[in-house]
Amino acid sequence: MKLRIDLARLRTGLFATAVSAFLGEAAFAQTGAVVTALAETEATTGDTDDPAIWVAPASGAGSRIIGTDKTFGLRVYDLNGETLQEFASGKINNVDLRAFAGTGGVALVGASKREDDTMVFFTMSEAGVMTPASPHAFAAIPPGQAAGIDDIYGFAMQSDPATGRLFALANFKTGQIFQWEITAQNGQLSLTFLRRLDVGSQPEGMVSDDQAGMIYVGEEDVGVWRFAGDPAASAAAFEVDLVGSECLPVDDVEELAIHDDGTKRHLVVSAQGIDKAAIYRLDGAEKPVCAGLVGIGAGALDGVSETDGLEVTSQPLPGYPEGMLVMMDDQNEGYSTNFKMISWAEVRLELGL
Amino acid sequence: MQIPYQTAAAALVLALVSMPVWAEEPGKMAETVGNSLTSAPAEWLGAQPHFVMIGTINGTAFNVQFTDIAAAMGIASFAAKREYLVIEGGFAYIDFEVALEADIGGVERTVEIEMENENFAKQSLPADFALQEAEFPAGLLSNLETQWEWEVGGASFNEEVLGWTGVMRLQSDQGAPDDKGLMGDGMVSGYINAVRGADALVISFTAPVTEYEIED
Repeated sequence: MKLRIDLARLRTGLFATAVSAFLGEAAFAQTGAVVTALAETEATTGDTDDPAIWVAPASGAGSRIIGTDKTFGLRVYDLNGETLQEFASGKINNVDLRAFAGTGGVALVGASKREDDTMVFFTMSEAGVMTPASPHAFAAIPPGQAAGIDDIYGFAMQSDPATGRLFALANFKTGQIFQWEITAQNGQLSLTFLRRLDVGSQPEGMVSDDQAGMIYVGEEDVGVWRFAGDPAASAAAFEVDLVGSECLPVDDVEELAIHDDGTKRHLVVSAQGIDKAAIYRLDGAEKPVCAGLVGIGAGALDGVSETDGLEVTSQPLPGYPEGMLVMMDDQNEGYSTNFKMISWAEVRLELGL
Repeated sequence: MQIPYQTAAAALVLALVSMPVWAEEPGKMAETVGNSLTSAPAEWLGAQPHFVMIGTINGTAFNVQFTDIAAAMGIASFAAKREYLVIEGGFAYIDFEVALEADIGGVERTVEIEMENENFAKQSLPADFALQEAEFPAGLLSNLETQWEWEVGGASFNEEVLGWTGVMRLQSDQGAPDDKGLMGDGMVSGYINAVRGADALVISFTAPVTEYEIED
């Protein structure tokens, strides 16, 4: 059972007095910071979940938001939120990308596809046009490992700055995470299974901290774990945070992302139970420290009142001088969902990061 | 300029009357307009597509009376979905949900109910399923999950509630099987009389099925 009320938003909102009267002032404790969205993607009556951000190398203005719709596939939006491309690929759950030239573009976009437990891949061109890679789909369960594994769910990509190696990470509702190496020859993708990681129950969100060589995994009902990213390293999990903490007061843990401005680094976690982003400092300490919670309130646009996936970039974009936070918003006019775009500068100021 | 108190009072009354229910209590569920039932129905309300939910869920009062979906105003969608599980030699019909999206009290609201069984297709209908907590129970047992959500002023109000006891009469469940023998159309109908602590809830529904999903 979940009861989710954005008390922070209510407190500053038009109806604060009335709401305080019937909920009681004590209910407003521990609200975190509230910022507002600057833009939003076109809404869909489907079921959006996870965004990725592709930053155009030539001009930030040509950057793209790529969003999953679990009833449809993938959509590509510009920074005004207008839909530029649609891919009716099926039940696409999570999406991620990394720079990659092996298929003829400048980046490789990957995603998890639920109906057939596959990973699907697309090439992003320098002009910001996405096309299916070849081959487009790969089985996500390694040969001989199918026993006890069911339902692909989360997906992330990982690169090793030292070697240039590229990896795909796919997790399953039964708790397994498979790490694959991605290579390409003559424009043709190839995947090689490397190792398996495990958490105790259903994971979803994952992010690779490429700079630090770490993989963070969200176990939805439990918390956040960290693994060494090197495929030759131990598969032991390190506890980052557990549900019930300051940053994760209740489940579910959803998507994860890394914001790295070159001097300060943060892990961003979608705390779905309170529909906020939980921010952790990655300042070299062994265990990331909770820096605060941020909710997206109503301003010129409606707030993020019920959320799922998120993504961040530290790259400056037009109107977003310190980068962008993108969060899924489950409730919009017309029973629709979309993605909200938030300035990281506002998040940093509100939380004093 | 002085405003006569009668005028001021009339203006206040007008303002209060025109004020949406959520302006008073955003987390409160408004009643549907033109309700004809003065109490919860004692039995299924018939084959005409309808959705009636009367009672309380976690103390929140619901009085939703769409007794004729086709004639009702403010409904964005009203549909049911069946869910099948892949089993050896075929499929088991393990779940169905009924979802209503409607403007009630000036707010777009979603209300859903979901029932589970080891295989609903094994039972001859109509049949009474005792409500209990276990997932996908075998035989004449089911569980009931109620969900609702709406957004007011940027705030989300939503809840998923399990743990009901009582009875669900699955009145009828018909459709045209496809080449797999699965039904993504037709109608599902029933009557629920449930309790959960201090809550009591009665639901009558006849809903068009618009899709199915396979859980593998």
